[in-house]
Amino acid sequence: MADFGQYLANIKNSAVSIFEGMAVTFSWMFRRPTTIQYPDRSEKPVRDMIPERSRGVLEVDVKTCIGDLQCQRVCPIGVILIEMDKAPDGKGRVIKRFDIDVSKCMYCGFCTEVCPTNAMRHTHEFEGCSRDIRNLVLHFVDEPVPPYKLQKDVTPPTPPLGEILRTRVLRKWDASYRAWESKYVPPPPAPGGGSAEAQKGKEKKAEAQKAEEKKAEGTVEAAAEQPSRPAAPEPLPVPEGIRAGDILEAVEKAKSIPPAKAPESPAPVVAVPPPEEKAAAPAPPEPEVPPKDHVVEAIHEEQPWTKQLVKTPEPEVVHGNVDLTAEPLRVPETTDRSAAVDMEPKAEKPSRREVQEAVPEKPGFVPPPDEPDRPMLDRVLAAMPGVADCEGFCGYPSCRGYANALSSGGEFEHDLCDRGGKGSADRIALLLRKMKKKETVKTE
Amino acid sequence: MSELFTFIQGRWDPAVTYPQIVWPALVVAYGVFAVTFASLFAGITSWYERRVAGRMQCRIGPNRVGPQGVLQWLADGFKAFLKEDLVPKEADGILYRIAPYPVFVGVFCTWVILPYAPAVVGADLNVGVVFLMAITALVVAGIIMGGWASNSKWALLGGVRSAAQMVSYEIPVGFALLTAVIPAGTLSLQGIIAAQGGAPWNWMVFHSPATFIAFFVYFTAALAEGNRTPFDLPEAESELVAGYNTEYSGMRFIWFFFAEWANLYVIGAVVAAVFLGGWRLPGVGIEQQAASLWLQFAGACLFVLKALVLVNVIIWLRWTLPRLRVDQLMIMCWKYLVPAGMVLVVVAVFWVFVERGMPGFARWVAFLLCATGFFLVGLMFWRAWYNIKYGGDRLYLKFMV
Amino acid sequence: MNEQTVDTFGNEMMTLNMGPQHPSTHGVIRFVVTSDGEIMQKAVPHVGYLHRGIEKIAEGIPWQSFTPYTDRVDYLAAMFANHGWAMAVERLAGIEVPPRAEYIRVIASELNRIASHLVAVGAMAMDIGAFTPFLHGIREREKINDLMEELCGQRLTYNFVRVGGVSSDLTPGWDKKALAFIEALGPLLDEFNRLITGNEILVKRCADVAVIDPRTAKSFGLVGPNLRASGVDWDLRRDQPYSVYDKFEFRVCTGKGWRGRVGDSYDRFVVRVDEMIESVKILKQALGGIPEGPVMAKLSKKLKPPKGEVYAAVESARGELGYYVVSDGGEQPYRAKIRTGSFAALSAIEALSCGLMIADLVVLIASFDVVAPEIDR
Ligand code: SF4
Ligand code: SF4
Repeated sequence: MADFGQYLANIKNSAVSIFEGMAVTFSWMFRRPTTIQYPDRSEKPVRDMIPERSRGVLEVDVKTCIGDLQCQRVCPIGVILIEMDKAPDGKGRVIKRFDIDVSKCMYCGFCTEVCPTNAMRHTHEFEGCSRDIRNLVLHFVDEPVPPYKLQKDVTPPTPPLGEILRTRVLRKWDASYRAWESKYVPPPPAPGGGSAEAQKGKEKKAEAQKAEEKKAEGTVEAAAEQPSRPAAPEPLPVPEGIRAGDILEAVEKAKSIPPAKAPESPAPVVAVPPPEEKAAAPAPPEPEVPPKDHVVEAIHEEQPWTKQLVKTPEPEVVHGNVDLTAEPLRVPETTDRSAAVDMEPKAEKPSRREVQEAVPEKPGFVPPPDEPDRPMLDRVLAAMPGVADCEGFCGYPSCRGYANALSSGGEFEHDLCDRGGKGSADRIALLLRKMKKKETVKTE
Repeated sequence: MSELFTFIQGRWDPAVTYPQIVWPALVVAYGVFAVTFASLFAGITSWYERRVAGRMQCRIGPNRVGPQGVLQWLADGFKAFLKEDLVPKEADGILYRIAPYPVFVGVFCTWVILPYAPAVVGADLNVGVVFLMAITALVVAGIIMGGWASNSKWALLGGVRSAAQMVSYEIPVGFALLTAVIPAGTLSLQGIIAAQGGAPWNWMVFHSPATFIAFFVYFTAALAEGNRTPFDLPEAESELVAGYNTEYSGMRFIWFFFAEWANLYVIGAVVAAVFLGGWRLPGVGIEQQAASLWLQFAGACLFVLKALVLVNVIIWLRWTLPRLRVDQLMIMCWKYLVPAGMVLVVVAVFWVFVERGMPGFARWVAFLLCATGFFLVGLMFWRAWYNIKYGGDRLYLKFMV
Repeated sequence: MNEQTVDTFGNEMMTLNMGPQHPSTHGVIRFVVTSDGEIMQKAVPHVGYLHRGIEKIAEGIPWQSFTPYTDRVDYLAAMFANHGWAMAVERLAGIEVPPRAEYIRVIASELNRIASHLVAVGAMAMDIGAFTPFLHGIREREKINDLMEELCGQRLTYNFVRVGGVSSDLTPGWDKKALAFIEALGPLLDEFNRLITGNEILVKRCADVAVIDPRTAKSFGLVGPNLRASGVDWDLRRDQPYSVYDKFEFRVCTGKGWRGRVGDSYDRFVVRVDEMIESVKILKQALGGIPEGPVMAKLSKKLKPPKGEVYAAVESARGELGYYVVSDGGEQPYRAKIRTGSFAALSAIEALSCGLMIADLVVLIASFDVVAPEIDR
């Protein structure tokens, strides 16, 4: 009988407990869900909901860094790499390099705690997705900067948290090299173009010239107080619709091309097409459309708050350690009328092929004649220049890696070899086609 | 189908003149309707279930594809179709490939006997209930096929579990349906519906204590047959990875789930038809309803509504309860449901005499049971309200987030 | 793998490979299950998939710099790992920790215990098939994570308890927020109990499954809630009080055999739920009595503890978490060994698994609340 009592008790327990459980779940149908709809439907951007102490991606304001290397020493895993060098004028030292490998960092906070000037800080940025792991090494020094001099009773200036990181570095995170390049390489000349644009262009040119003059002044001042510290240059008057980030990158781009250093007489920059072409076809500028070259940015762009963030151009120039004074005329050069137009995001992104063609021909790598008897790997390898200073745009550790992937059928993009240019791409495409044919023959 | 045909003949002359054209067209049209309804239902339920689950778990659920996420199922289906159809190297290729279809067919064939209105039914079989049990047994064949042919131990365990479970639970299902069949005096679903009334106290579930309990027995056993939590052992994801469909991917994987969601509706519809009065409208006679197009339509709507409420309950159960163990599943079946079913059949037979002898008493009991049913529903709402208050929360009725 | 396993009656056994990728192995652990259909003969745990050599790393970095690594020992309860290391070094070097720091340590630890137990019971319910309790647990834990982020800047890998104190003081208003949270937690725990703890299906799934009697529990070296569920009344917080635990009133929860025998999986479940309630009590006392003062002892930058060795243990959410540290008087530890509860628990699984069903193995693993990185370190 006791067993039967247990039997009935089981039934009763089950019924009651299931009923109770269902009441709980049912009640949650009428209660507020706790989800925050990240990233685009939260009331505030999630970055601003994060508490004060939160440890996000690191940033460093090199202008207030005294270069005592404490952060580098304290980091348990060697994330920070600082290189000091003798100043070019022989007096004192300069910070030549300040890299933070975000992909290794474990956000422990040791480095920020030891920093005497608060130059090294944890921002509230946490969206660390990138297409290429190399993008995660953040370079904070472009031009050697003299270290900050600690003085008594002077608190080092602190720019708003996260600004350096956002404006300088994060924008590039998700961009593959090609996307980056395609934005700054002029499109092929297109027919047409209105007078309105021309007018706009003129205005821009005028503005740019003004900027140029200011820059020149800046140089003089800077030269005067060189040993201590370059004066913060006046914020660049930025043509409407162009964001400071673009300019910065343009500056970098311009610098990456070995220029003839002549601050007084602006030399034409290689990347900009000759003036005749420009006059014929100013690409229609659409200043309001931000470049949507990668997803993260696209999301940011859609939100009012990010727009605001991105559209404040001045501070980045001030804090973003590009020493504009050192090379005053480069910027105006690239923000010249047509260059400015070129820097505008295109309404339609040019296709890869177009970009490929638009890239000014790399002075000619011509692969050696093909030797059909050799193994495919060697033939593909022979189609690449294999230069030593290659920066690895293909994404493979070595030419051999890329060639191996191609010849084994794991890689289908034939035009990744940047140094080889069109010559390599065409040869590889040919080889790939041959390979395919051979395979089909084999299988049949 | 023939009722529908007669119904149309009464209103539309060409149907009388060209029956050889209209009849096949009607059959095809009904078939298309059934499959479309089933597919749409399965798809939308897959989204709806996730939304409901989201709210129960203090989340939101998919709300991005289309307004409020209603097109999520299309996106998911599309993605699954684009996926590679993988067949493991050591699998039994043919069996592996055809396994989803018996599952699918087994569920979709039940649409033949689901009655929507006096005239709208695929086929009013006089062995309707038996057909229902027989055709759903096809599902188990598919699942065993999938489990066996995958040549994976997890899948095999899932398949075997499923076989044991489905075969066992046929019996309580049979007993519970029989309890409802006895007072109705027919095996046909239309007949069972006709034997009930539109008002709640005339429903089969409140007809006698036996049918009241049989309702719960059938509901439980049907859940077990349909592999729903708390009886989803064949695909117990925390034990068997994914059970019988461990190795499946892409489209074939979706077929299994399509069938599962379509089966939700089948369970709901059968319970609604057998126990909850089907398409009967309160205060409307059968002849009256059969004669009017609009009353038929209203009845169909009511029927679908009842089924959907039950679907909600199934979803709700799934997101509340843990899963049983294999032996407990069998204990549940053989020690609780089967004996209960046997007793219920006897009580049901006994109740036939009670009804004849003391019709007043039987009516009184029906009212009482009906009151009990509504009391339980009210109690649930009160407990939910209590939970909200106790947790220090406020009522939040915004469902569109 | 290829060995033929045959039982006493000549029936061939099936060898199943559960993990390292399996929904219920909580990380990457692998079990080689020998079973006769649903009933297992044995399940042999294979560990090492998450071995990162944390103990070896300790030998190469300064004493204070090891704390962020201890975060990675147990990502669900990093505060205890921090605390244990800090205690070990403090004992070696004879550092006096300011009382306010001790209070903050206790508060942070108890919050972390609640967070960890919420995941433990939620994940156990999820392994048994109920998904909703898990997310209800996660919901509350998320609030704790928010509190922690505000307190120490990180949600999981706190690096908060440092050698000599804690990294930072409470932010203004933090204690009010924490109090409000623990006030609200009580009713929500009751709701959680109504939802799942009392659920008959869960009770039937867990009760009388994998019973461990007190002697076996001790002989396997089980610790923490797993040990207490077997009826052994042992809690480091009360029996070897460290930090300021001796100032607080609380009950040590032991298994009572609520719905089966003492030491079954259900007891392990309920003990964790009970401990959360006790933690709430401790938190209320600690937040009420927190003294003023500094939160960090004065330390030299380069710590050089004298030669010697020490064992320091804290009562972590997974039981005794001990650091055995040897110093040779240098700037870096000579040797550090971490003793964790999960590893001991895992060792018991093989012996317990005989005769269980595959579904029970899942319950058993979940009821031990093993965390894969804590097993391997
Ligand atoms: S946060 Fe820690 S790991 Fe990251 S750079 Fe600073 S010290 Fe190194
Ligand atoms: S960032 Fe700070 S700690 Fe690092 S070198 Fe500069 S001043 Fe020193």
